[in-house]
Amino acid sequence: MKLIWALVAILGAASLAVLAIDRGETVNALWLVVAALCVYAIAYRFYSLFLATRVLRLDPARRTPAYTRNDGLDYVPTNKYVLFGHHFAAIAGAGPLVGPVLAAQMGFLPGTLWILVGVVFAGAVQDFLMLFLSVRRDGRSLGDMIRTEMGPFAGIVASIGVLAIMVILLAVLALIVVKALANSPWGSFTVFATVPIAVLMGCYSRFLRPHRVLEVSGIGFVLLMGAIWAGGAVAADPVWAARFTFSGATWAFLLIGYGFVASVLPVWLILAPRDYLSTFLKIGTICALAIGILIVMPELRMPAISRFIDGTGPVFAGSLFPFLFITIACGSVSGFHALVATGTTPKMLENETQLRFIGYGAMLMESAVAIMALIAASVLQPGAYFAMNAPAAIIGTTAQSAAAKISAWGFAITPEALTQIAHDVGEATILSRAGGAPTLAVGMSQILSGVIGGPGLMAFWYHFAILFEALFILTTLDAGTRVARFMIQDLAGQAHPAFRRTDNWAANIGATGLAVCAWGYFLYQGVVDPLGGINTLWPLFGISNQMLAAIALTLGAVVLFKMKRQRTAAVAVVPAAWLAVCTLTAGWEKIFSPIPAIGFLAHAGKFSAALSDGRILAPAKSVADMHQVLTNDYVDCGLTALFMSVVVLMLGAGAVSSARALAVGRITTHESRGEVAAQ
Amino acid sequence: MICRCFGQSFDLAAIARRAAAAADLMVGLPDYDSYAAHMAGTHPDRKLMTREDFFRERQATRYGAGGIRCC
Repeated sequence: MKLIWALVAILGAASLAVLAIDRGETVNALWLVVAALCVYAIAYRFYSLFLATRVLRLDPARRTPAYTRNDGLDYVPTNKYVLFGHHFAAIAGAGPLVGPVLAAQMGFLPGTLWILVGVVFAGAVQDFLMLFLSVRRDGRSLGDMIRTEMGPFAGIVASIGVLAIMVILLAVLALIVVKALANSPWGSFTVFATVPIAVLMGCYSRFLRPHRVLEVSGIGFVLLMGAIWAGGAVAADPVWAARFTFSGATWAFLLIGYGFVASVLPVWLILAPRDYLSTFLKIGTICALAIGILIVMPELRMPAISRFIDGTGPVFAGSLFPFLFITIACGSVSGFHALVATGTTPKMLENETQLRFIGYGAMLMESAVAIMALIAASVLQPGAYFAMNAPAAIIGTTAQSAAAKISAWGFAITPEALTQIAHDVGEATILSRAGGAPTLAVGMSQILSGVIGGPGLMAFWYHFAILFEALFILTTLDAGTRVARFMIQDLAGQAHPAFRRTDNWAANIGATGLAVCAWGYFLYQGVVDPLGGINTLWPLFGISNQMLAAIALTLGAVVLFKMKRQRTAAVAVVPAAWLAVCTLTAGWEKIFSPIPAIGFLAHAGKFSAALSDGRILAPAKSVADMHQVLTNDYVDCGLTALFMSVVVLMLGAGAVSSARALAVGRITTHESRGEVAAQ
Repeated sequence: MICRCFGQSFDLAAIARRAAAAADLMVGLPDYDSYAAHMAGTHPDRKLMTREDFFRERQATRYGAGGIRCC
């Protein structure tokens, strides 16, 4: 047995060496897959076992909340494979598909290494720890546990942080949809078509055949494929194509309006049925992509390390440290999982020892999704990748200007090649569609059309991939707006109890409006930004997501101290410290960097200097626009400062709690009793 | 239906049932039979929800106050 693990280690190391050593030729994606799988296998076999037996000391005799509080509804003992599926479906979203695509501008190697190291020592550890903590506390939520273990002050700080991350998350996800659908009649038609399809499904499962989730999802899937096919016909017809062509700004307002309306409608009408479609489509597409990569075995055409590690990259500004580590959050370490892992999963666990498989294992699987996204971005010609992801302010708006600029960076591409790709996927242009979805869609369509359909089906696969991403982003917008509304009502309810009443229509509409305006503001700001918006918003999202991970790991460390296991607390302290260093450095640079592309203050300085000279800088077209740009800069600045303060306060609270725990000689944590099962 | 391969026997019907349960739970619908068994065993005095009511109750709960899923 030892021999097998030694062989796995050697194979993994050899694959990484093949990836890392530059021989001036392309590398097959299979090496990346093998390297990743070897790392996951070793990490799961050894590190997660160490966590399970030495750090957390999982107790197979201890009864889980699924038994002690069994109600047949929320608390139900559930088979571990079934629960793994539930947990994985809840943690995997658009995040692991977007971050790695953006990070590919630095070459595929930095992203790969961070995804692998990050998931093994931070991401999977966080998920495992959070599940463990919640299982030992009757399945309570992250906010609840922070309050009881670290005090009410830390609890309020954390809930403000979570609300802010929600707002940025929704804005950045909506922006990804806008980038993919602006001026794309095919994409717009299919996304519009999802609304009547969802309503039809909703009515079917409400009135005709409730409880038949798979049946109604099958019907929805067939209709969806029909919509993609019809979208092609719409795009080919000049009259209908014009009707479904919308600018980015129009899409932003459509989404804002949609977010408001959808989140006050009953859930069975649109939200639930579309959630079925997006969940099953997500799982299916991930499997299809994995099989596609294994069959096609594409070459990675992106260099291992590109010149843009110096921080001058067009996709996002800033150098490798700290910005790579906040650009790839989901897939490596995602604070959002701390909210998911303390939600429904801990209430259904059969036995504590299964936490290793579900907590650590599901996160490894999400990391594999991130690796696949990185592969899909790296199989594209680098020139095409940069054409799709660099903003119009840098590469211009024509294929000629883009090809000239990108070739000058050393990534040779012809204007004809760019037009050809757009033609192949059935779009008028692929330029400046940053945000991950279109890049991934082109990469996926190249991989999947290699399996089924050949070049003739590329356009279909491209729009399938766009629809798949748009579908689950819209579901998140809808569900997330509701969550943000409840959070606002809860926070406002602490001032006046009337706000908390969810049957109070005025409070509901008010809180929903506030939530939609908050993310809508950042969305619109991102859409009109000549640098593409992703430039500004994705780092903010990354900072906030990693901030939440740092908070979760801090809580984990505090609990280990309180359990008198401080000698093993390094498993949480080290990743928490690393994330704190990354988020604080990135935050500091976003505020104070003298380079206007990175620093908000420098950017504001540039605009106010222009204003006092009486000049107007793009994107502004008037003096009022100039003032708006300045306001945006200061808002972004304030938000970054808020995130940084949250991190600092939580680290402080964590240090105080840990020191107190060290000072007393007994266990001070607040676990529920969890009677030991009769043997 | 039993399938034999690799020297082991697999109950295909049971595997299909489990896969369907996993798919249902992915969208937040737990197993109705477990619920019914729990109610019969622990709370025989309380009213049992029908399959349809159970579906609606679970749907409302999933998208109610909690229901956080990832980016």
